[in-house]
Amino acid sequence: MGTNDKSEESGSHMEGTVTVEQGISLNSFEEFYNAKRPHLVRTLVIVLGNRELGIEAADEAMTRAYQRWSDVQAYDNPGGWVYRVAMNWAHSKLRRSKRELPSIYVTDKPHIEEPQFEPKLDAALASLPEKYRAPVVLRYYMDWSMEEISESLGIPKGTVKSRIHRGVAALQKSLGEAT
Amino acid sequence: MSETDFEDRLRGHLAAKGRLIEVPDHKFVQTKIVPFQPRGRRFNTLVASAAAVVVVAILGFGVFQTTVGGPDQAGIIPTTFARCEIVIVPGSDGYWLRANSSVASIGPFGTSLGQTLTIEGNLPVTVQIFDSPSATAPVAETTIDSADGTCSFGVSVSNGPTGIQLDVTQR
Repeated sequence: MGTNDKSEESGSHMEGTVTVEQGISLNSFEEFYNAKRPHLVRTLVIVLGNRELGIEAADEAMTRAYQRWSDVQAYDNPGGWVYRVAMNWAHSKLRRSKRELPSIYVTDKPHIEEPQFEPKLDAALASLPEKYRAPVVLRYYMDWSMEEISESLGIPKGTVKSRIHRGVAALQKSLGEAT
Repeated sequence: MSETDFEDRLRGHLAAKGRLIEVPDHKFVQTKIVPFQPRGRRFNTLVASAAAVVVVAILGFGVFQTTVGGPDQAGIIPTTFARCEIVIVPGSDGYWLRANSSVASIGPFGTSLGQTLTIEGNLPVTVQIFDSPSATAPVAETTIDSADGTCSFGVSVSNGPTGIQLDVTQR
């Protein structure tokens, strides 16, 4: 276990004492955590349609990022890695529990607080299959590039473009606004 | 409506939806279980019966990570095994507990306030609470020598008071 090896090296085995993990930049991870977690949680909640699952998946992925931070921080898009880990974890949990995804989670607060919130568009987004909803949310909420979405979803860039195009078209069609 | 106009509208909707989703302020809590170290002849019996030191550190920004060095790594034969339940009782903030271990088992875990974190390890178990990752002195500490007992203590962390209760029962 890598992390334990580090604590072995730190010589922290005196009775009743402990040293904190050596070799991990806590400040760097803290910055990442503080900067990325809120958006990650919201993205997962929207994509998964389940608040508790989204929060738990985000926390699980953040833990794994922390445990591998020396590697993860060197990635081009650590946030993409964390998103992918979170989604894999969430899907795995759903498979284990043999649960169906519940109806899409909407919001905590009354919609009236946000004039740009459109209930009909939200319902259309909720009815979109996840393979379209995820790239649409990553593109239009997270503002990720096609490359970043491709990397985090593990699908070719061309497929990302196609799914976003089809997803947007499906949303427009659902709203009766197809061009 | 052109796709570009619709895309702008979609961005606006998603941004609004995101703002409507409240994100709980979870903390990470770091725990460590490291092998008990022999300290002189009088501890031989204890060493033979195995021990683990359980450390729970509450970090300032709250990362939870588990590092486990189990008794087997020290070649210790467990004979007295205890289940320790650590209950984080939050003030106004939520806490997130998660752990895994190849030697001791820790769970269940999740995101609920007041969730119980169960650690199974060998006695004696020392629990220490730190108020920052760099702190060398715990703000609270307790040692469980017997498998039956309950102890509790409170610590103050940056975001408010926290009570931690440790219940120990023999398996």
